[in-house]
Amino acid sequence: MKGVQKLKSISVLVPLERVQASLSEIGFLLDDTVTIVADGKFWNKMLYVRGEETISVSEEIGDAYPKDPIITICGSKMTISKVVKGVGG
Amino acid sequence: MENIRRLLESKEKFLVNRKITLHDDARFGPATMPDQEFKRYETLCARKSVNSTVYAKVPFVDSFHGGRMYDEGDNLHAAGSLLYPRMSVPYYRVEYSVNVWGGTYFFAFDALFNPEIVIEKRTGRRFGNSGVLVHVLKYHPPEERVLAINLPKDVMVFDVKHMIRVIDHSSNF
Repeated sequence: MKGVQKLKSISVLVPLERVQASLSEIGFLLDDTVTIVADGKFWNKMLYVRGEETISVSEEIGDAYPKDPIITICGSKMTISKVVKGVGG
Repeated sequence: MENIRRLLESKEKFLVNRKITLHDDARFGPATMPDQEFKRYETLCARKSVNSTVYAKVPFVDSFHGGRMYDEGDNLHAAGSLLYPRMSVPYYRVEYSVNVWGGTYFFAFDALFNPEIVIEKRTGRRFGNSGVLVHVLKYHPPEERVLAINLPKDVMVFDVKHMIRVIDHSSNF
């Protein structure tokens, strides 16, 4: 991916499984995960990679409801639109 | 993240600084973790629910903290003392700051080390010369790539983790 990279961050009201399936469909592979704590809340952050493009998916863990994973995409315009479409945006 | 995206689209010049520091100050203990995170420690310890006292299920060695030994039934994190866990998780504090329009804006989070529980043969005063098999808790730092905020390649990130302080000794002569 040598083109210009754009940045997009969205919060989606769909289950994490659907987000993961959507990323897998367009060739993103899970690279690593980490538990982070921000503002007293625990989050599971997953890093997906495809070439030079990266997507991080963060979901709050614990009793949070509703679950709304936050997806941050750093990639081409085409990738951003595919991801947004894939998660029902 | 959205603020950074807006800055990028405005073509405004800005600088992102990142500082990663290791902390082991007993800030995070097993009693206050959500169930999903606590499950990673369930081989070693048990609790009724979040913020309940955590007890050791089996004897184990915490190799990160100099081989600290816990016996079965030991209180690892008391419900009445949630701020002072006996067993604690080390973490990286990751601080991002953005310098723009003469102001500095901060964003920080903590990344917990990943636990690994293994069974190893240990010898010594406590275990005898022939040695015994014992559970060992190890912690692994998260990889740097997963701590990073996704940013396009053309954004300059100053990583101050490896900052070396330059001391000018010339004034001593």
